[in-house]
Amino acid sequence: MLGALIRKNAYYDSVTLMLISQDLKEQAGVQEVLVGMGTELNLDLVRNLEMFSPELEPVGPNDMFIAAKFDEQQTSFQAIETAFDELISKKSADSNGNYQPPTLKSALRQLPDANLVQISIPGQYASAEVEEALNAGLHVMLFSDNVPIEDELRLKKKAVEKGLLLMGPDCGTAIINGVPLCFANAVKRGKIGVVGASGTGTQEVTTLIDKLGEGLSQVIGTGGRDLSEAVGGLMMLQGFDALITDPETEVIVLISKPPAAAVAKKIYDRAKTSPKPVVIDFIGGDAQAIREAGAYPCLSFEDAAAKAVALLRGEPVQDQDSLRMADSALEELLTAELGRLQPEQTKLLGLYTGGTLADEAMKFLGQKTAIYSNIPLSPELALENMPAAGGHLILDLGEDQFTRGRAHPMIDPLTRSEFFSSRVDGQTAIVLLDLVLGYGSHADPAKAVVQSVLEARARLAREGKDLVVVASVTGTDQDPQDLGSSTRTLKQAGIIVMPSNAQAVRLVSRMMEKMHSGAENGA
Amino acid sequence: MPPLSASRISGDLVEYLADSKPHPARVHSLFTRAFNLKVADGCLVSGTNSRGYIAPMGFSFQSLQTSGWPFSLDQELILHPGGVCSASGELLIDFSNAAIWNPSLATIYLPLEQQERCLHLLTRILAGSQNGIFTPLLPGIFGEELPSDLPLHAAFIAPRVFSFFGHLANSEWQAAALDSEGLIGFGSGLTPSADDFLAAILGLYTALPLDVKENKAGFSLVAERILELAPARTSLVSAEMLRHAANGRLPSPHQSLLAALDSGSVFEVEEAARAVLNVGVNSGGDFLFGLLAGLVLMAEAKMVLCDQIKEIDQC
Amino acid sequence: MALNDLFTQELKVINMGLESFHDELKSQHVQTVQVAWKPRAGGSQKMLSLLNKLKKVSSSKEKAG
Repeated sequence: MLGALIRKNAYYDSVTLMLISQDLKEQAGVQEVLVGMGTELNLDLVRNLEMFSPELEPVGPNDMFIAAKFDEQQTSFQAIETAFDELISKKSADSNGNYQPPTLKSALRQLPDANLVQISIPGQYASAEVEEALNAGLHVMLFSDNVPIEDELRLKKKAVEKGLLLMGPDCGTAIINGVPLCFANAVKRGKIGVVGASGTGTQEVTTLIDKLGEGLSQVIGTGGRDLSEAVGGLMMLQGFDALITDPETEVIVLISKPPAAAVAKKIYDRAKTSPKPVVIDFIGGDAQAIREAGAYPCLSFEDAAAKAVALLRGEPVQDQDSLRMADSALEELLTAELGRLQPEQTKLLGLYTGGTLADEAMKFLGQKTAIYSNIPLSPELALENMPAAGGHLILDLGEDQFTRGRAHPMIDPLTRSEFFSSRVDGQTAIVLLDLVLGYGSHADPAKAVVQSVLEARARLAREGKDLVVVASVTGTDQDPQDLGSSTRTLKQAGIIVMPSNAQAVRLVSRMMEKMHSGAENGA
Repeated sequence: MPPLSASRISGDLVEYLADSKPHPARVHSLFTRAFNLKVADGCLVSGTNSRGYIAPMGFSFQSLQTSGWPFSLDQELILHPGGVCSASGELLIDFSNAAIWNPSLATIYLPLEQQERCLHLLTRILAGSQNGIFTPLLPGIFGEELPSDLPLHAAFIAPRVFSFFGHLANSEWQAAALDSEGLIGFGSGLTPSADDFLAAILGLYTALPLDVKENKAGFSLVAERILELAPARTSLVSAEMLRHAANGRLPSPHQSLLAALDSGSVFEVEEAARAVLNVGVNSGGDFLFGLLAGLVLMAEAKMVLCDQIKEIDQC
Repeated sequence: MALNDLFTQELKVINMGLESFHDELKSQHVQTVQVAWKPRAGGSQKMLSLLNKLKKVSSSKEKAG
């Protein structure tokens, strides 16, 4: 049977026209379908295939047509027309104007030479999709969290067996062949390769490498649990091996929170045999063991970036362990900034969107004073244990308890704005924060921060108070948000912008020392 | 609602509106990332927020800006130098902050060895792309045998493409002009595949230097014939694209690709070609196919565009 | 090893989940397809495990055949 329909002056973009014809062809009983604009030559093709029916007579070049040949035992033209209408309405509902296949398998038909699947669906459904992707020989970037650890282990074993990457679960950052995935920055390509179990840590290190003038070969993510006893560092080792073999990579950086002892040992063993220099930032990990493995331990992400660059350039490798600011400039800054505070303003409030950056801040500042947090260094410093009289507080706003029902604060800056309103009070002296730019992140986080700061300052001004705000920006000038213009926006609002989180933290540490000694002198 | 602010506007649209008269228009077609306005005299003006994209007689917005267009299909509008207004005079789109983009192609001078490199590179990119109705015909433009299992559309159009191609190669302009009738408007898509192919060839020929005059004069016969036939044989959107291409104006990604060919930078060519492939589903591939066909023709016709020509041109 | 092969290929991505990731890739001219993912079996865990079993059975049959 033949059937045809015409939509007068109907314009659908090419993607829609072509994919709808593909989908209609897959309907049961449909033998052939042509969809297109009703031009003379397209009708020639219809005639050529002996699919011309009288309904097509009035069609013109500005009309869309469908001509179908089908088995009337199995379907009717009406059913085809209904299917078409459904496809069109489904398509107009989707936001970017492209047809979207419903499953991985149908997506592979559309992009048969795809080599990587990026998954960010709810965690309880993710394992099945990862398995399917690995079975199809595809590398996986798994952004979803809440994936059971047994699944992670099983799937990573499968990935290793097949020589594939399974980056994640809960992996936020990777740059493969120069393409930033999920949350990653526009960094130069170059000769430093990174395997990171911490997303923001990786972003901080890679952007700092970029700022120092070098580039990245590959940046592989593993997900936060990879170096746990249970998972055994499968992906870190897999990535490490790949970078050792990769001819583009000359220096290797490994980033993770301190791994389980057995896992650390495996990594050190591998580092011992690495023909390329290895920089290891296990954020507060065992520096001596790292040195014994012939690798370079780090004091901060900033230090990791500097060491990697020095090794690449054949320059001496030195610890970056100080605040890079001339004493006189520092003194001037401290006097000016702290001079605007009232004596009862003594508390630090850290509002971080990047969890690992919050961790880095606490590990440094927590050496001298108690810092409460939702990701505390030790259980007695948990948020709920903070005394009613107040204390120093650093929050990771990306943790589940704050993000329920809304996007991560790197995407939705409103979360932090709310914390500015609720947590900045008459005792707050310093707000320490991060700004993470790059693909995936909010289009203009600087603007949101400035707005919060102005509001908080206006509120405090009624009590005759002010606020010191110290920030660092993780990003590059090539990022969609632009490091330079974000920094300017912050500075114009009187926010102190430091070149790295480590520098921001060191400055805050000096401020707190000064406030403390000032308070003692005053008493 | 504040008006949408256009970030770029094409120079030909600025000129077109420069008479300061209000131009009545109607919303002709709406897509998620683009729309077309049909001005009373029949020409189309397009707006888009696809990143980096702008077309002749068009304007663009910052990508990701706008959650919807401020008008509906068939709505009456007024275009003037300051922007687009509703019939009641409310400003819907503001041109005052837009930077002017020049849609005209610069002359390209391709030394022979560079032509070969570009041919190589583009062939590799296109063959690996799975994009384009014409792409399965690639072996044919290098004089090789076509695969026996060609897809439907490719099989239908193959004899016509190679007849056209052969006539161009032999400078048989009349015959090529006649062939074009068998191509215009063919294929899937809002701009049918063959039109993308023709636009590439039109664009390439118009961008050649003056010294290949003989070829240009001959080719203008073909171009005229295409423009004569297009309004009745293809969609308005496509006919407008052909008209612009024949006058040396292409959308920004296509224009950048021609410029990149001339720059000699493999990296730039690759980047620009991929951007073109991202246009539509097959549109980019069919354009690239046309460009490849054109480059092969140039090489065969010994249209060696050497530095000497460049000097003559610049005198 | 397939992993290092990846480093020499053009990255082509299927995105399943947050559409903004798909948009970001497209804006960088990376070839990408967005999957209109919905929980399979209408989100029912029981149906899901059944489906997975069915798949395993059919693939082992294929191998046996």
